[in-house]
Amino acid sequence: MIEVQAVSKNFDGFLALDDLSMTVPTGAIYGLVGPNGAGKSTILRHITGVYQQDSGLVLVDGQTVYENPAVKEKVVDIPDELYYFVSASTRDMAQFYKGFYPRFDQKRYEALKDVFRTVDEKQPIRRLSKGMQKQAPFWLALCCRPEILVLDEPVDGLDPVMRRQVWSLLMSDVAQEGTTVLVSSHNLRELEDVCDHVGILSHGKVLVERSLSDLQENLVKMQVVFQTKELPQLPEDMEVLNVSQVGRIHTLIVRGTAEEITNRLATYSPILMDALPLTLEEIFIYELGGEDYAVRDVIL
Amino acid sequence: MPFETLFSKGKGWFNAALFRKNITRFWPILALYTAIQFLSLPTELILLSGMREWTNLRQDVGNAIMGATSTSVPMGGIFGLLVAMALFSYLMNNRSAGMLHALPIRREGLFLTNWLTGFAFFIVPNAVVALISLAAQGVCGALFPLLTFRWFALHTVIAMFFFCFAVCCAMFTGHILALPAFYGILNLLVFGLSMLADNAMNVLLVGYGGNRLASSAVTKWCTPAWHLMNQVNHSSFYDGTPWFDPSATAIALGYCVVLGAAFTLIAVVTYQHRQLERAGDIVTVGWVRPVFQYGVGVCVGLTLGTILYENFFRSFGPWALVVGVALCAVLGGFIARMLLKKTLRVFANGWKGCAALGVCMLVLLGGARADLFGYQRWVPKASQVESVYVGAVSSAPWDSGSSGLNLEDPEEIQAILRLHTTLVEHLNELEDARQRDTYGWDEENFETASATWLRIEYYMTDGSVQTRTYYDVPITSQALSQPDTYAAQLQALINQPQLVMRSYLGQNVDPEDVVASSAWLTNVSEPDDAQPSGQDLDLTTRQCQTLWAAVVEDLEAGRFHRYLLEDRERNENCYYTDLHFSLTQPYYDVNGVRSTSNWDLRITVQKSATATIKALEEMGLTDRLSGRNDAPTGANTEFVG
Repeated sequence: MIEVQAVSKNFDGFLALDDLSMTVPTGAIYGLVGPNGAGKSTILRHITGVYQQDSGLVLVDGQTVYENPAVKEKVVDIPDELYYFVSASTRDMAQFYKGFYPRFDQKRYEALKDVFRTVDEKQPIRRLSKGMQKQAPFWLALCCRPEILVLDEPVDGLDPVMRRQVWSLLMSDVAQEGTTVLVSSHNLRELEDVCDHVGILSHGKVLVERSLSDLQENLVKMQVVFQTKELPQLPEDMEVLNVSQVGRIHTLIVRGTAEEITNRLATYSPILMDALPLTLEEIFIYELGGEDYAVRDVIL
Repeated sequence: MPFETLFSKGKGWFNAALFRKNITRFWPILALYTAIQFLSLPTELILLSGMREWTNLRQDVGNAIMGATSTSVPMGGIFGLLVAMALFSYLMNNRSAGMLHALPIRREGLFLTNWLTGFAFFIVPNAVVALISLAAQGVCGALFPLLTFRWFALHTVIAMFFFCFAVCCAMFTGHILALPAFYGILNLLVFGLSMLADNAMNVLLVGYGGNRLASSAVTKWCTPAWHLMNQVNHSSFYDGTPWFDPSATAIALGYCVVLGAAFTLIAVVTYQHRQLERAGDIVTVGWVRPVFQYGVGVCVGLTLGTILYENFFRSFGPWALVVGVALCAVLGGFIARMLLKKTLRVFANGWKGCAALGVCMLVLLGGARADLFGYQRWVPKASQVESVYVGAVSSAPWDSGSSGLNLEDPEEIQAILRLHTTLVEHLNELEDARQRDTYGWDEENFETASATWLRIEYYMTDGSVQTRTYYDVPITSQALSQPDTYAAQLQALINQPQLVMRSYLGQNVDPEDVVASSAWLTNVSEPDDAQPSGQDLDLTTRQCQTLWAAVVEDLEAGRFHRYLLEDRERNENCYYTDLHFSLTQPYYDVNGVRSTSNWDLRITVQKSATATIKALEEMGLTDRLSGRNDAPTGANTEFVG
């Protein structure tokens, strides 16, 4: 389990992480989403032990990560900006990682050759195509048999088939090995398919953190046609995050369960009323609406 | 437990995978270093072995080893930097820093593995080259194991010292191009700053004189390349046997080991606290950033300010230097801030600090110029002075009597203190003399005004040495005629008979102990012509001894004079002709072994030296003296005699 407790980080007067706390349960696939500059990559670099926090704690299985090789052996990361030694091939890097990760699995390396068959293991990684350069770290990371895999914008640049292949491998590891995956991405539709937990970051803080199902149950999109063309006065305690109107159809994004909101709106005797689940992208947009990050005039 | 398992799990202080990767990544540097070392020693020895029939092979082999040893400083300086740049370049880039620090190994482990790689880069090739060199020496039949070991030790330890120094620099910067700049600047920083400060003080303070800071022992110790070059080159080939100073070698090795260890320790501690997000920054350590900013300001201020003053604003006087340095320091502060912030827009937030730096420089240099510390006015009390050396005085005639004087007698010390006091009372005149020419001649082309250097070194009773150097002490014929002036006092001082004697013969030399073995006259004239012919005239041994006795008599009687001006008196009293003696003095060295010292003395014949003139008359040689007063006008200004 990854526990981040009240971590702050200041870069030359810019507060990148502001008392950030989050918890990634063991065996979860945790999606970390947030606007640009929210602090996603920064917190991931703390979790991989690259950066040292100004205050707070970053714990993996109850132990601090920073300068703790015993913990870092369990964690493998694929950063957004990849780095390989000049002229090092995938095979060279595998040899290199073998010297650091005691659980490095050579048999798996050989087995995965078939999956990553387009990647020439003898070719310097820097001379591979962009997509192949993205595949190589997955190949290597999976061979390290990590307990925790930290991925920062991992599948950008992969073709759809390879994306699916990679996610399939990761989910297989999660299912069979109990691997914990912490992934940061802007591709929310993709995360929605694979994540079971989501944390939304803004301005260096976690705004919302819960399981995806909880998150989806807590917000509902209501499409309603009222008796009058105008929107009636809604109850003050009903937390409406967004209202839009097309013709006579009002679309309301309301905090609460579908059943509760449906019952409350039924008192207005609407001509038509339908409760729809929100996508992760919609949740992201409306949750951040109150954080000075609203999308105006969004057509849903 | 096998080595690989013990150390490679990332929990230890060394990682074999990283070590191997370092070797395979940076082998070209290793290969280049090895190739140069191989060319510089074994190849030379192998070539020598083919010339054994027509060379002194033993001496040539020894020379080759010592020559190759003398390259240890430049080789170490260059390759120490290159290896450090290669091994620690990952810290200069966010991606590489992130990749390596995400690995399960402590920073100390990364550091030590890289450090050991650097060590291997130097010790392995040097050991191989040393062994091959020994084999080549065996082939030559001239084996120098100790010299070869000295080559190996100095090359390895000096290279490691520079490597540790460069690594230490690398910990303070996050920019790969800043590393060689810092390394080069810091290697020469103390010397450079000392030179700049000396130069500024020479302009601002009358009497400061010379490169006192730059030539100090502290500066030498703080300038590694200079210090090590001095120590390493303490070797020669004497009487067929190679010779080197073991203590100089030991000092060089000790210096490198102690300072190298200190740099390594600083580097490790800095690395432990390094913020990796600073990769790409010129300076990565928080507290060093203001030091860098204001340090660059001071250096730019002194350098640029001095250049501008020397080339454009000298006529405005020393205050122009004060203002120039202060303004340039402000400029330097802004430039450094731009480098730190990586933007040109630094004026709004940085002006206060830079202005404060400018004010500090203004106060510091202005204070020096105003002599707030009393440096210019300082004259020691007689009770504080043990002895005095007076040197650099330009006095005619231009013979062996121009050397400096050591004063130990209380009366002599009092005389120099009076002179110094008079100089201090006339600082404005000395200052003016620095700004304008003080030279003048009368209608007969005799000198009426000139200037002389004067260096006074006080050896104080507390063991310290205080020096004052006056570059342009104005000397005029008018001042010489007034006994209270510093010019007259200086003239009187250098004409004290015992001092004239010492200036010719040296300190603590008793003329009774000196034997003149040969003598000759130079620049004699033909008997029927008073003009100098430029020819020499050898004297017999008898003539030599007679003349030496006469010269000693004149010296003791104070009949040889020194002149601060090329005036009428000097021209009328001195001949062009000089008398030369080859002198020998027996002495006992520290081991009680009798030995002799030999030197040549050149003394211009003076009319006032009556005993000498009389001796020359008796030898019939006075018509061979070319006299100034006999020469036509116009030749008088030539400094021949």
